[in-house]
Amino acid sequence: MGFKSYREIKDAIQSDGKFWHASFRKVVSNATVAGTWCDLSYSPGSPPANFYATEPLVAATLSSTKGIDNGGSVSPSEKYLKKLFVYSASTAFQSSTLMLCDYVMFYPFIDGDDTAEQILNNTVTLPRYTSGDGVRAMLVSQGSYTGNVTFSINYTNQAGVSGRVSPLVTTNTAALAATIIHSGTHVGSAGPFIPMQSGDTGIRSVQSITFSSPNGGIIALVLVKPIAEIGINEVTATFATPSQYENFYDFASGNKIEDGAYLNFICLPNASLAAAVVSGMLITTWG
Amino acid sequence: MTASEELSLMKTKPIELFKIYLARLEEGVQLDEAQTAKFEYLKTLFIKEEE
Repeated sequence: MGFKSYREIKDAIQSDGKFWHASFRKVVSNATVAGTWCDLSYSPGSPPANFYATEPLVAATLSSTKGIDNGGSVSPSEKYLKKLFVYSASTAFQSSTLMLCDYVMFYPFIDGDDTAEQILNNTVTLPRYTSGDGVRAMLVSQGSYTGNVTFSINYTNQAGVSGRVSPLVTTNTAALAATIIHSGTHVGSAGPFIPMQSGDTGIRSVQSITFSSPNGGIIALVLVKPIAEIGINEVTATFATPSQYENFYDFASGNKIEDGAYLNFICLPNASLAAAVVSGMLITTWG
Repeated sequence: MTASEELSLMKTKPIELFKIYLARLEEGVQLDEAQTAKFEYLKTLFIKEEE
């Protein structure tokens, strides 16, 4: 289904009751490093902290009720992000970028000290975006680590072709929990997601990960589908400018949210966010 | 114990590690982030064990 016109969007919200408002408020529990992505799902607040606490190396999923509430299942209707509104009174959040993601699946407790190929269990498969198209992988530290080593993952791509290998990427030395360890400003870094082999457009599953040297710590490999990005504007001691993203105006075709999605944010901070607070509202609509 | 050693213990003797963490918490010692993640996982195992 979905929407064919702005009129249908208006009717869904104004007369059909097909909308959902969800608020969120996260208190960043760890220090962060400017220019290095971090996973805000690890921080307390609303929704509660996510520790990726399931069986080591075994694929698992997160319940949508533990993430930002997006209105439940609406099938056969299609749900879209209508509006995203973020606000912070913490000056540390100024000029930070937030990326709303659907955390589709993860493999927890990867041993950062093990340089042998670590085989991952894929009994559980992607519950959404099942081909893997548009799905990206990120490594999130579950505790402190040393870093400055290279690694690669062996995965199956969006076409079901196995044996794909990511280019070597160097981990950062932020050494903080909830850090996306391959991001940063150092030589050999990547952005928020592990780069894929040339030609690939998504990851369906990950078969193994190999560190060239001991990285330290324990790490979760998380498969996410990016939904939307928003920046936090001016924040001073006396004035905070809220940021707003109006989906159907700013991005004409709309960002779809699948039934069962676990929504949360990753963040590219411009300063250390320890104890900083970000809050806001997410509105969805369906038709 | 290092994080890696604790991870090994979690895989081989999970209830033993859980009891170590419980003892630390009872002494008022705060778990770090890596230990908190393991503790959250071990809680689910221990609940199953008790059942």
